Amino acid sequence: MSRRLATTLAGLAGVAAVAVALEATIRAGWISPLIIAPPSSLARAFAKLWGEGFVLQPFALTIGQAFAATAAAALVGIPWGFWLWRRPELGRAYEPWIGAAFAAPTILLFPLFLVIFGRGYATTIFVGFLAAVIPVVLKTREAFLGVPRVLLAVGRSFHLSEAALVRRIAFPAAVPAIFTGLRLGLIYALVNIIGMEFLIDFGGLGRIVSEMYFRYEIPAMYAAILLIVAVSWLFLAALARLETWLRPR
Amino acid sequence: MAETTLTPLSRGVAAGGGVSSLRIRAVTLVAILAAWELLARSGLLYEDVVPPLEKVAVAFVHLILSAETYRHLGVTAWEVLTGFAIGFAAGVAFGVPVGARRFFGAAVQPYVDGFATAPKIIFLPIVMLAFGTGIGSKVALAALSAFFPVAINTAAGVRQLDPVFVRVGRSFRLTPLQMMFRIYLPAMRRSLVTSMRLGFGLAVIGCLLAEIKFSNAGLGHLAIEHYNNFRVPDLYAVLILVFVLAVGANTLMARLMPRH
Amino acid sequence: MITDSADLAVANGILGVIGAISKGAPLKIVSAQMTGAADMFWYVKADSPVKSMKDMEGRTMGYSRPGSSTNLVALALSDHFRVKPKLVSTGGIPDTRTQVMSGQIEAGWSVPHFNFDLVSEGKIRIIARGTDVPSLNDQTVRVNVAGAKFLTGRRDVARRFMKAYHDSIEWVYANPEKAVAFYAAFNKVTPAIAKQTYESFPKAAVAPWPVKGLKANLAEALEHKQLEKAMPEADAQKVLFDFVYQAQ
Repeated sequence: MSRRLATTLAGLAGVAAVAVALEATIRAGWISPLIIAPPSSLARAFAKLWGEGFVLQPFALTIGQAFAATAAAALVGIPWGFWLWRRPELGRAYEPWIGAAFAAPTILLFPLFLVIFGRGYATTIFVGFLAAVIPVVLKTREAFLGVPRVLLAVGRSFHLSEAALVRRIAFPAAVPAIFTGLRLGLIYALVNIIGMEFLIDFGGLGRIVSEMYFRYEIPAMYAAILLIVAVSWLFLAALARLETWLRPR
Repeated sequence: MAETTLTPLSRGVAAGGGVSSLRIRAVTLVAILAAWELLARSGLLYEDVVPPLEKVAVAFVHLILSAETYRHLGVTAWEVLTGFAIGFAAGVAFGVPVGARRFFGAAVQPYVDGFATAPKIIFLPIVMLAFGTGIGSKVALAALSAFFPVAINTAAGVRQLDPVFVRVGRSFRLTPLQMMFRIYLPAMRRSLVTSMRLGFGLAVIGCLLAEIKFSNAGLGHLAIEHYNNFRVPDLYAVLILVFVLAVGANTLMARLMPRH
Repeated sequence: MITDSADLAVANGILGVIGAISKGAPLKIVSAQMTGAADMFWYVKADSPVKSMKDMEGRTMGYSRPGSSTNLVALALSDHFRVKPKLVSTGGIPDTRTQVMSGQIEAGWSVPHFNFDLVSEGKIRIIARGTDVPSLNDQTVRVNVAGAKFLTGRRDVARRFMKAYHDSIEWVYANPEKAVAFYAAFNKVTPAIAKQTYESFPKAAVAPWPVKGLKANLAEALEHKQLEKAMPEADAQKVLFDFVYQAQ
């Protein structure tokens, strides 16, 4: 058995063991089923969610918003990161700000965006955009900074114009790292958007969790939460896989 | 076109730059504030949703001078610190075996990644069902938020440990607990510090979002109260305070605990 | 209350409560909180061409969440005035206000004292009220609930609380000036707004008993999926209620 298969099976066995233990404790009455839904109720709850249209359409909505936010972040962030490299004095000046923005809790400002944009896609996508644009800017600048001097020297020795140097040498060399920035941006956008959907009861997957809680449908709520966890993992894994595929080492 | 040649950033320039960097930042800041004021007074947006700077400043001063603010700040601070402490301890305790035992680590990795990536705020209903609507649920959410980055970072740190250390520990036949405290943790100082900063930041976010969604005390609650009553300048003031405190705490941690 | 962090909760939408109890939540309804929709109102921006519900044909009209009391009242208003506005879920009062003021929707919902400041500043106009539909006055929309543990374990306290609740309501309507002043101070609003708020709540609307319109509420709860299957009225009487104190 390959190691990969062995660890996957072991992981699944672990999850199954936890589920069985939970089921037993709930049935024994030690944990209230009103607090933790018995694992046996999850399949039916998920089917119910599916039947009511609370899976596919919200999924599409959430993913759609994440892509929209990341596209916006790319449109704004890549030129911005490029410009910060092109003008090193600006790059140096704004470096501490961008670093701080990366660590800053931007999602906490969402009540302000609610007030300005209202309770709608504008707010959720804007928060996703903010979360994504910072890593895109950072990574884009890093990408250009990381272009080996040798390559640029070769270009100059061929008397390439500035514009041609960028187009033919710097940019292609920077693309892999820019892609890393986009990948990070997409994940941050997705996560922040789901969080926002939950907080303002609007949109796709995050809203479903909130709505199930308000409807007091606890198994459905757990099903929705686990769905989000699964979607998060899938996205992370898929993007990582995509990146390795695009840059064979 | 520009005379700037395409040279990579000179390594000799200190991060943050010199006087010209300061000037650039100052000019940018002034430009941003001016643009704000223009937008506020332009009438493009309705009803003071972007209030003139003066109103925000006045609201901020009221906030700082009000005793109620500090009561809420105290609640939030308590929730964050307690939650972070719990999450950090649990994260390290879980992260070490994940890093040290290859098979176990590989088996649980996807589940840890999945839960780590998902926004922790969606676990708020679970935490509220279990701990009620009071401080307990906020502490729990802060702990949950801190747990994952700490666990992942700790595991990574353990994996990068020089195997010699582990062999030395084993040769002395140390118990797992002794291994933890005498071998792993001391050798992983740097990654522990990173964990702490990451975990603390996320604990702050988790706690405040939980307060915003459901609570009756704390800075997050104060913010949403102003929102509900459409006291917009006060809302801006509270969020500015939160932001300043969060960034300040992070900067403080960066200064006190440098990477090396 | 499910986690014992609160013994008693006021002002819960009755549909949600019916749903929760049907799913096993350990709660009981101890009294009505609001019967009819006298407090609800819809407003438009001052410069809107809409003067009343009759002008709302095809225009956007907000309510909080699907299945909520605002949803029901919006539908009732539409039926009563024989218009078909475009009903839109706009969330809470501040979210709704933003959407009206920024032009995203035409008419938004509210309850006192919220948005009364905008009314007195002339920035918005009220175009419809819950009282415009007389049939709504016979349906209880919000109730007070208590935890089952609280009702059995500390029944005397529950009884005394409900007596205090009842007596407080009696006091408010017997001493309007003092009540208004107290409300103004507590909610940090002007006395004028507090007085308007008082006038929006007729005494009959906040009477703790009886809980009216059970049949209609059960039907609506089923329609909006709070109830998974129909609950007969007789069962409901037993399962939902525990009037630990009832004034004569």
